[in-house]
Amino acid sequence: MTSFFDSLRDEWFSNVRGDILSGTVVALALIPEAIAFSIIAGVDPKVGLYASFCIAVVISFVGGRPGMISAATGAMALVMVNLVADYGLQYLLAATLLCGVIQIIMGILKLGNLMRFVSRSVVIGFVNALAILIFAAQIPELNPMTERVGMTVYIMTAAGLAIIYLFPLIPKIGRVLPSPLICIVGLTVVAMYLNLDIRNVGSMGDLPDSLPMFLLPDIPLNFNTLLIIAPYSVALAIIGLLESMMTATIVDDLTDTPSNKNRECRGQGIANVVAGFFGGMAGCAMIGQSMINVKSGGRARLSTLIAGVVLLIMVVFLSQWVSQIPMAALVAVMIMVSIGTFNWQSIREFKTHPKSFNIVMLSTVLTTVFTHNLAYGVLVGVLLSTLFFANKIGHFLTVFSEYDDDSNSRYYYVQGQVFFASTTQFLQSFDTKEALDSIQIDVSQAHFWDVSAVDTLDKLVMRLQREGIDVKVVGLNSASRTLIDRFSVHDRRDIGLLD
Amino acid sequence: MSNLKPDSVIACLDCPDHVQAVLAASMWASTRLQAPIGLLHAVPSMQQKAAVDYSGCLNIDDESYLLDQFTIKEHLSNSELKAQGKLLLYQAAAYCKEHRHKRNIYTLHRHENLNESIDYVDDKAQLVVIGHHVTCKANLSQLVRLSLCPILVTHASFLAPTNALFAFDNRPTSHKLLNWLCKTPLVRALTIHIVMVGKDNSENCDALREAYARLKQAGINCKKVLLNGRDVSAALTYYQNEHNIGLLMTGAFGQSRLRELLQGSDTKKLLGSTKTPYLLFPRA
Repeated sequence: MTSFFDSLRDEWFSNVRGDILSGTVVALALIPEAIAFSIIAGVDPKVGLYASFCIAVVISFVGGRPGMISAATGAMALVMVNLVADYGLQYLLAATLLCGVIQIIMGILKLGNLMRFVSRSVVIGFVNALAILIFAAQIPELNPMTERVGMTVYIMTAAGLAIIYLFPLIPKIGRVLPSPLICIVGLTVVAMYLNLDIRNVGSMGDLPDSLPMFLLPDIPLNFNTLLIIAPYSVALAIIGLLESMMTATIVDDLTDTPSNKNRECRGQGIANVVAGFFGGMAGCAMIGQSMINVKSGGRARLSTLIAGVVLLIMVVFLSQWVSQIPMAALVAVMIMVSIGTFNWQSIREFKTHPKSFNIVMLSTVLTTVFTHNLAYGVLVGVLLSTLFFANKIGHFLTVFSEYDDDSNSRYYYVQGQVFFASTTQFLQSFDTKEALDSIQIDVSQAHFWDVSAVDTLDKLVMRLQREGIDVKVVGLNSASRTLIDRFSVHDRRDIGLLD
Repeated sequence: MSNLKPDSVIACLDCPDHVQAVLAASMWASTRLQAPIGLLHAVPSMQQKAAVDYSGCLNIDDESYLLDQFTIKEHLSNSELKAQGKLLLYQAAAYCKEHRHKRNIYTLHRHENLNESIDYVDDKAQLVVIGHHVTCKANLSQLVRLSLCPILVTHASFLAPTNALFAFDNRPTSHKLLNWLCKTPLVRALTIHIVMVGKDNSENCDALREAYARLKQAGINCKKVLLNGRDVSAALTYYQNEHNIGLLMTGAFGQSRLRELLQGSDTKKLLGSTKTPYLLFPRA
């Protein structure tokens, strides 16, 4: 039992003060985002806010990555736009439920393990793309064409940034209170005191005035409904898990602690199911808020729970004051997040990194920034890094040979990996034009990985036989032999393949 | 990897009529260059062309059966072809031994066209010796054009030359040939006639004098002549006959393709008309 309490203490109460403070900052930062994403998805602000509350609270118990913040996100909101426009909110809630179920299944199937195929270059590309996207999302709030944006907003934002970066330099207090919180509170007080006419949280939409309630989506339960929501649910599930897993990896990196990816998958699923029942939209991990949390000192599960609970309390009971928070303060916080998220090292070391690393990183960044879809960016990055890897391994193939004058025969030694990427090289290493009596191919130091490798060996043997040369293949290892046994056309011929 | 020894003299045993001459020329060159002889026999292997169209008549499993049958058939016919080639190479090697040739002799037996074989040897060989007739699809000028190393073309009988004609035209290829001549032991003992066909102006005279000086400096016995004329190949042939010169040496296809199209190629004309061994130096 001690171990249970130990882990309880470690996961929940190891960092109480830091968690409470950072959770509060995160809650403040969640409000405008949740509202903004609701607007993107085409639903009431309360749908995003309830979702953020439910997901944050549930994930704090069932998630696999302590300290990571999950809520309604932009990536998910973009996917559900059409569903909401065509069928309405109730179908979105149903899709959210199904998405959660799919994510739970993926978690049980341990698809979180697939994360090991995401290389470091892809993660860095993803992080940089996110930093760019987060920054880009703040531009409308700074655009002079937007209503009520003017010199005051720029001064407020600059003041906010100054507070964020200079406050920690103050001895003693600077270390106790997270500077983003000071920035938000300070600027709100100033804005209210001076009665400034600038955009604030209230201008994003009305805040809800009641607690979320349990309700079943009001949809006909038939196959047709399933056909409508299933494609959206699958897309939501994949993008949600992808972003969550990537964020978890980044938080792992930042805090130098491990996480349970499969538990996180299941947790995301459970959180989405709960959100669906309480009238919230689907969500996933948020890299920006997670960064705020970690950078403001949040580490344990408590920070996530506090973020959710404080969010609800503020939205429902303190909505008067919350709606007075100037957007400029939140913009300053998000700019800090964007600067802190961006991996500046990847630019400093651009010249020293291998070319393939940079290409993968840049492709991930560009794809993500241009499509606004993290899934495509990661997909492109993973594909490219796989190709580069295959290419690299393909070079691990050497063929050398010895000529025997007496018998007019040649002994070829093959060393290395024969698979789809190296078959051409394999074939070119043999001189089929030489008029020999016999050839022995020693493959004891080689491995035949796939059907194309077996095919190529077949082709080579046949080509040599047609030239009137007797061929013998020696030293096939057992794994390659199984492949050849199954796929070779020439296994019946007397070339020693299956001796 | 390959049997090919670097810096060897490659004797192309292609046309049966020229085998003896090619061997004689190769032995002469190999003695001069102190290089091994590679006896090259290249014959394209027999390929079963899809002679009968079986489409529509095949059962599902027939493909691999037919493939097996074709492979066995080709295997047999190519083995036979190979045996013939082997015999030829064996006889050629024996012929060289009979003539008490001292340099190392080895064989290169390949299943491909002569032009592919030349492509295979030309970046390592020192000299390729070819008979005036070739049996492969390509003609002699095509082979010469492809080669990256000097080619010696010999007629049905080869007489060791005592003097040589170096056709100098002050173009890059002939300058390269000049450099090569200064270094190679192949023509060290011969008297070289540097012949230039062109106008008797100071530019030509200077170039000719310089070439002459360089050969002299390399310790080669030589003469220089400036022939006035327009038809280069005719002038050279006339001069060669006049002085009874046993070896013709020129750069190969030094002109651009366009000029060749307009004027015709002197190299091609000389290849057709000359009756003596002809050494061609590649352009590239």
